[in-house]
Amino acid sequence: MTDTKRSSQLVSAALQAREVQLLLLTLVVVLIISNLTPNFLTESNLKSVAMGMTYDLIVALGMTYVLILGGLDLSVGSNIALTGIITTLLMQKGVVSVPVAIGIGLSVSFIIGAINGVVIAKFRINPFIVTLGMMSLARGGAMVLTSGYFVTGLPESFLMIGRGEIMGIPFPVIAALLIVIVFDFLLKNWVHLNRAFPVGADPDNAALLGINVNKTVVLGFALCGLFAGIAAIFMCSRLAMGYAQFGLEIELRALGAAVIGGATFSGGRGSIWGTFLGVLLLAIINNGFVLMDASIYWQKVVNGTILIIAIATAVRHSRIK
Amino acid sequence: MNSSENHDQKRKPILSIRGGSKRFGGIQALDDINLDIYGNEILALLGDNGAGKSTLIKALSGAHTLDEGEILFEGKKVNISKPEDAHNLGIKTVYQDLALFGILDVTTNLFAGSEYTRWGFLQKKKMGKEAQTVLSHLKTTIKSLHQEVRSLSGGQQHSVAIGRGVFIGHEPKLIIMDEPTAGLGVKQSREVLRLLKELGQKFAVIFITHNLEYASEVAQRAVVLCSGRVAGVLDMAEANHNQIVSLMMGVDQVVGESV
Amino acid sequence: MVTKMVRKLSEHTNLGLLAVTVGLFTVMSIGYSHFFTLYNMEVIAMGFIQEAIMALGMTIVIISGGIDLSIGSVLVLSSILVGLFLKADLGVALSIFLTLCISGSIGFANAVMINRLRAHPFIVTLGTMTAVRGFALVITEGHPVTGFPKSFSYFGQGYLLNIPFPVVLFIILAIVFHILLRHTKYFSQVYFIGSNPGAARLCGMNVERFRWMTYIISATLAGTAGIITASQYISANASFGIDAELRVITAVIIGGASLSGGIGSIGRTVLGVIFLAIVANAMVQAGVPTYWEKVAYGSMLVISVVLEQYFRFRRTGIKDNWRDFMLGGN
Ligand SMILES: Nc1ncnc2c1ncn2[C@@H]1O[C@H](COP(=O)(O)OP(=O)(O)OP(=O)(O)O)[C@@H](O)[C@H]1O
Ligand SMILES: [Mg+2]
Repeated sequence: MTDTKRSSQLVSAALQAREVQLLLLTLVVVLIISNLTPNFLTESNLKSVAMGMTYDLIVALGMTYVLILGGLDLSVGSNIALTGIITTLLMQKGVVSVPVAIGIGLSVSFIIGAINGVVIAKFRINPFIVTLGMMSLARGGAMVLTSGYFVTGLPESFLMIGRGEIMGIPFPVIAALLIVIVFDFLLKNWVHLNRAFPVGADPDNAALLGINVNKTVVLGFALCGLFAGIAAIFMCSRLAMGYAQFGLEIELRALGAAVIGGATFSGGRGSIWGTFLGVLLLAIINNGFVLMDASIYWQKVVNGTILIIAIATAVRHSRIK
Repeated sequence: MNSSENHDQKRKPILSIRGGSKRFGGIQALDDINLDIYGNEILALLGDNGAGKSTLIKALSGAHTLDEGEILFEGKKVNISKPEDAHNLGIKTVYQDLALFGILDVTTNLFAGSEYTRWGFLQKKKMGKEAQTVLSHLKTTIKSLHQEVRSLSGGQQHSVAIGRGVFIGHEPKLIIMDEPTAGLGVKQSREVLRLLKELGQKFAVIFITHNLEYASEVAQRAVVLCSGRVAGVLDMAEANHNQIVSLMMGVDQVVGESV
Repeated sequence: MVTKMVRKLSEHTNLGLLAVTVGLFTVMSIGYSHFFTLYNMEVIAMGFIQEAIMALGMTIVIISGGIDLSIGSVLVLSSILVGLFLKADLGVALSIFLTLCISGSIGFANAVMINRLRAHPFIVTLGTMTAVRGFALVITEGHPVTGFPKSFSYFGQGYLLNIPFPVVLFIILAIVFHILLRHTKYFSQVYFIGSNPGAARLCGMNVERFRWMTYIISATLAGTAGIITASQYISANASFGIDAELRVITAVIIGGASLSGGIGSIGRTVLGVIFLAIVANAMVQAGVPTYWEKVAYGSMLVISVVLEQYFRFRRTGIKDNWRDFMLGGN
């Protein structure tokens, strides 16, 4: 008797959790799509879904983190473009070896994020403005460096990063999953990352308690930049080029997925697995559109609608009881 | 003002401010403040709205830095330029607006900034246990440590703020409470006063309040601020309310000198 | 006398930006003979006219503490709708009227969602931005809409008193909104609502109702810009207005409005718009590759805000609380 009551309580508590709701929703969507088209549950299609969501996923992790901090980063897409261009240019010209080029590329992405963070924290300027400026700047930089041309002719060893597979699973997918697991653990348990929650919930109070808000914010944005850089490396390697138009609008998709996953604009909230499910859900839905040959133009309509529904449900749960 | 020096010459003050001043743009929030706080005493900090009480204690807790003047802690000159410095010295503050994180749960609120860690990793079990102990010591009615703080009652929120300010993290030496009874009912206020007295046995306490009854009940001495200056330092056993009120209003500075 | 004038002027506009704009204008006029010509002035004005018109609405939204990312998408949808209505032989007047109504109702929907969901305007309008642009693609299936009647071209290409019609329209709208914000009781609420919505509500202002109005204005102006664009190109296609919201926000912020709400004015925004229009033109005149344009925009946005913040800190000695400038703060 009490046992059933307890377990029913547990079930209802679990159903309250954003992640569980999202998982159920995703399953429903999978059921619907796989009923509508036989091509969904095929190995090659699932692989392409997984590969397609990898970049968004990695970027969305960093976005979730800055959302928890109470900020946002519009410059991740441009960061991908610029980092990709610099990395691939270095390799194409044979200036440095592949690992060094990747190292430099990742440092560039980290520094772009750190500059965002420093300007935000030091001059106390709204992250929207700072990262909007950086978005223009980095994209412009990428175009200036290439005059709009592709950077191709990359070394084979670099291309292997994106094309390699382990047990039939593309390497970037495995890497992204590992990053999700590690980042989720660190965010929950490592004090330096975990402090994003109090800082985002109320930065002034956090400062009063001796938390170094400046440091947390700068590192958070730098981390977000670094995630964009990682996505850039995978993208350039997989597509075998660097291009100034890479990563267009990825910031919007990442923001959308993070918000669907439970992050809010007022900071202090957000979950890595929630974001993962948000990215997954969007990827599956978009894949469904492609498979069913429905006008791909509906994609945007549906994505926008999902975003709004996501806020609507999120708000209902976060209101004070 | 001399009274603070006359008062108990054998004891050394745990904290002294010498010539503390602070400006915000055109506003002189603090003007040449001198005051001493001794161990095991409760010092009431009184003054009208805008007198500079919160600014003064924020300078002690590292939220603001003084433009001029120095702070001596246990006889040594110290530099409190950020909240961390104050925490490390053992100066603990319960802020007027409580400074809680509404959307975070009770445990996170209690330990924010002073988390228990091993190699940088949070020790969640240990913090949960300690949170339980602290809250039961404060006799609160908080049901779950996983509740969002904004869903607690005003009194319960006070308990969390006081619990964090006093019992968590570094061992306190000086506890500062900015209007800890504001917005509380009679019963809750009595509870806070009881706690204050208890703390006053062990630590130095600065108690800011607008309630003179409470001040005379728990405090041994009072410092009265008026427009950013120390208008007088009083012995609570001898002072009467009219005296304090006239000092607060800046009506008669002489009274302060003669105590 | 001069100082008094300066003070009076500084109430209305951003002096630093004014100096930079005048400086740039002078340098360009001296250095490039093609710059300060009537023809080029027209090019400058028309090159940024859609953004200029939308910036008026965005100013009101931003002062009220909101943001509207959906304007670029509304512009597209409106340009397509007006084309479809015209092709359906509804007549110019009715087509424009219907288009503006639909545009306005998107703004209304934004406001209702922000009110009801108590969600951040950024994410709500991000949602409508995506959905509306998608919808524009759906109804055109990606093809351009063409074949407008000749009479329709007036709105984008016609002249009134030798001035391009859109520019005249912009000037009138700017004056109207300036007067509304400065001199009417109802619209000047925007400053109270933007700086502290809670307090404004306690003072009896209907914040939710006011929000309807701000977003409706913003969307209707975006619709107007869409109609002008369609008329300019005598066609409509779904790639109009991409990134327009970013250029518009940049103009408003460079003008000196604050994303935290409560600060900004039509005068400042007009200056911001003029500045960006001149910069865009100056880069073309100076033969700077177009790729540099984005670099210039981005750096100007950040530099202008950093400078403003720095001087404010120097003047008042007060650093903003984190709450005041991070997006959050419930
Ligand atoms: N961050 C700040 N920026 C500008 N002025 C400030 C700031 N903090 C305090 N002030 C000003 O300093 C003066 C003293 O303020 P303070 O908060 O210390 O008063 P108080 O004695 O605590 O009043 P209350 O009893 O109302 O809490 C006031 O005039 C206030 O306006
Ligand atoms: Mg106070």
